[in-house]
Amino acid sequence: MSNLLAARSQMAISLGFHIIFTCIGMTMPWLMAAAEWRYYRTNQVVYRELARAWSKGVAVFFAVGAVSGTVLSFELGLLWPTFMKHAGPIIGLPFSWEGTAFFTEAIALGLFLYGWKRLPRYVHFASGLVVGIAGVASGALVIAANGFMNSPAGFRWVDGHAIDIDPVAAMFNRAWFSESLHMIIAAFSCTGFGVAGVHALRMLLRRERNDVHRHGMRLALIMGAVAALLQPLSGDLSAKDVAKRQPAKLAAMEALYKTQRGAPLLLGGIPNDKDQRVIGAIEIPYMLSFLAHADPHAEVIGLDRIPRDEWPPTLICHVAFQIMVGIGTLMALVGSIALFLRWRRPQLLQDPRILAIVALCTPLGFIAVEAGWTVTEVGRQPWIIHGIMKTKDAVTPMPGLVWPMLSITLVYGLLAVVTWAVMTRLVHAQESQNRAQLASGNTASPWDSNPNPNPKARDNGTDPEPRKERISHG
Amino acid sequence: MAEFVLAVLLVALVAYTVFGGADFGAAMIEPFIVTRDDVDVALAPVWEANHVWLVLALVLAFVGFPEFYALTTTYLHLPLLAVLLGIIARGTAFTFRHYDPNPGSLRAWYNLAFRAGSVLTPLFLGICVAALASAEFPTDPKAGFYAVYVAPWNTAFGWATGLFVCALFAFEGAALLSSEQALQGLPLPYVSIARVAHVTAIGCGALVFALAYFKHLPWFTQLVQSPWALGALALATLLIPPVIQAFDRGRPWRLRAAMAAQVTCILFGFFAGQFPVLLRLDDRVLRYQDAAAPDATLRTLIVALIVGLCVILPSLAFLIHVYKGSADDSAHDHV
Repeated sequence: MSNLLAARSQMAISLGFHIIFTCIGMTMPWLMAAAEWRYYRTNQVVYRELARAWSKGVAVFFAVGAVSGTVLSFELGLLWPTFMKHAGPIIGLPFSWEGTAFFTEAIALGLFLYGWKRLPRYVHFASGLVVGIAGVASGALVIAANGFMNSPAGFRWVDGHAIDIDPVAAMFNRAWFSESLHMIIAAFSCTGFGVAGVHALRMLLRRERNDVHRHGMRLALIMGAVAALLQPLSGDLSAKDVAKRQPAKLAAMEALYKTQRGAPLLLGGIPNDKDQRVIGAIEIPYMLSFLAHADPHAEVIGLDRIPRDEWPPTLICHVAFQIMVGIGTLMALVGSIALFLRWRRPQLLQDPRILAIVALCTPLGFIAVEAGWTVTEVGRQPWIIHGIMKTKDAVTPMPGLVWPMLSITLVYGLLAVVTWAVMTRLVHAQESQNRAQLASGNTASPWDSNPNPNPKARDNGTDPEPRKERISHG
Repeated sequence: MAEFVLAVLLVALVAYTVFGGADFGAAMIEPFIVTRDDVDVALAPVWEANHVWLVLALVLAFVGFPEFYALTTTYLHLPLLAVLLGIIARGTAFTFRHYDPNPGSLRAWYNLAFRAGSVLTPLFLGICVAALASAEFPTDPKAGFYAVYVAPWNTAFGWATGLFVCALFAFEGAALLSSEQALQGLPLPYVSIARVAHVTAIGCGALVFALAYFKHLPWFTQLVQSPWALGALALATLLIPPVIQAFDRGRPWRLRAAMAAQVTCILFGFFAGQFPVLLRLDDRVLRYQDAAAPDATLRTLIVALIVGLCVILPSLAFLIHVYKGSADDSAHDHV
């Protein structure tokens, strides 16, 4: 394995790992805050239990995400010192703001986790909200740096050096808005479906309907569904943006070899660079021209206009793009069904077939996020800063990079397994503990099946003295 | 402006060494104490926050002094990788240990990863800092892997500095745990551990200077000529008796203050000896002025820093106030 490929693989693995944890870490706090809000509005204990259970998940994902984020800030230099030497002063600004946002997020999460009894309830709720706001803000800020790599701005490149640096212009580069928007909506969508899926799966497996899982699935599903329905709009914005800024990336995503007017959209298919054809794709005439430039007869630039040594890897880009769009469409479909059921037929949301569909959606959003990042990162190749610096010129000169790559891969693989195990145990522990509560005659537990159809009933599942009650957790 | 950024970089490193150092140390001495609950209570929830000082220092380095950051991460790739592995192991193991409701046989592995990671990171951070002071990094591309990527940091001086940092952190950790107990009116149980760590730290510190003297390191020559460096290190030495006294008499706040002052003096003395040099290549010396980013960058960085600190410091103070305000029941009432 070449040094460059090893460095790129290590970066891909580190980012691919980090992105899952940050997606959850920045959007799950919104769920946890929403549950606490519902608790204060309705006084139903089930929402407080939900907020607590979710906050434990947030804590684990946040902590692992913080660690993998620290690792990345080292890896940028360890793997791409030349890039950092030139880009650091240009694009450092969003990183320094991101530091503030991240620190605020950590502090607010500390307040939320440890402040259940020590803070007035609205201060506690506000701290949960701050976790979510700061999380989304740090996501948007980090993406400014990636936007800069796709759409460099705020400097002039003269003789291999950046002069006239304007960090503010670099931060608000042209790719920043559409990329951040797309990523943040994706994070809400994949987390919403992921959380809803876990609750649905538990209801299916345990063959009983308890309030925590029922309400948990409903809240998370609404968040995921709304985001999934917004995502195609943001995707359209991104596509038009990429068509203008990075025609090579768009051509690779769509496997468009020949520049043409009225370009068709290809669904599926395997592109072959050698004879420049796509095998087995379904063509929708004029669609690509329409989507990229809002005009069915517009010209779309194909790979033939791009020098051969500046082509992104077509196969990876095209396939990853198909995966992302396919999953996105599916999630929007499931999301609209879910919202319709919630509106017209709420009982049907408990139907095992619906639960099974929601459970099957658990990993989909995350796969789409990984595929989307593959499109944007691989689609930028061979550039690390589009049109300015090639990836191969930025990599560290240290030989033998395959060993650091293997060790990081091993560690992250192990971490993924352990995180999975811990999360599973957290869910099981929460359930069995509450079953034990039920057995000991504490009917106030929201984890049993609720015999009372009226959720506002104060004799079951409500909490007359929320500030004094003490539930012992493991 | 570069001076201001450099000063904040130093402050971030001091904060990391003072607050984060105690966290590392608490993990190191954990095998020798009775209950890990003490460690959990002492670390959480500020634990995540302490780590951000390191991230701040990194961001300041690559935004403010990009060439320094690029050279450091190139030449010190291997020790920095060890630092990273330690950070991963320690950070995740602590979280899992805290939140895993039924760890079973995994508990031993969590403990191992937490403790081993807590030694690995300070050891190699010390080695990296020592390499900045002692090495002349080879610029000849044909010099060979060992000469370029291992030899500059793999020195007796480097390992002695690494051990010094570990011992210092262990002492900080023992003192932190003891003062938690003292604040609650309990006797100090970690006295002997703290004494061993303290003696080791003093011994390693002496060893570091002896090696620097015998190896004729340019850093050391500069250090003995700098009144600031000498003053700071003298003050650090003079602070040893007050630290011991505060510890013996169970005065937690005096102990914390004296130790923080001592650590600050050590770091300040170290950098005063190095100033204005950041690192040395075999054909030139990289001073902070040479490595500094353009003014436009530094200006926006400073604005971001000031606004950031105005947001962070009050909220951090509030968090500590809320958390330590009722430390007596903190072990069991969080979720």
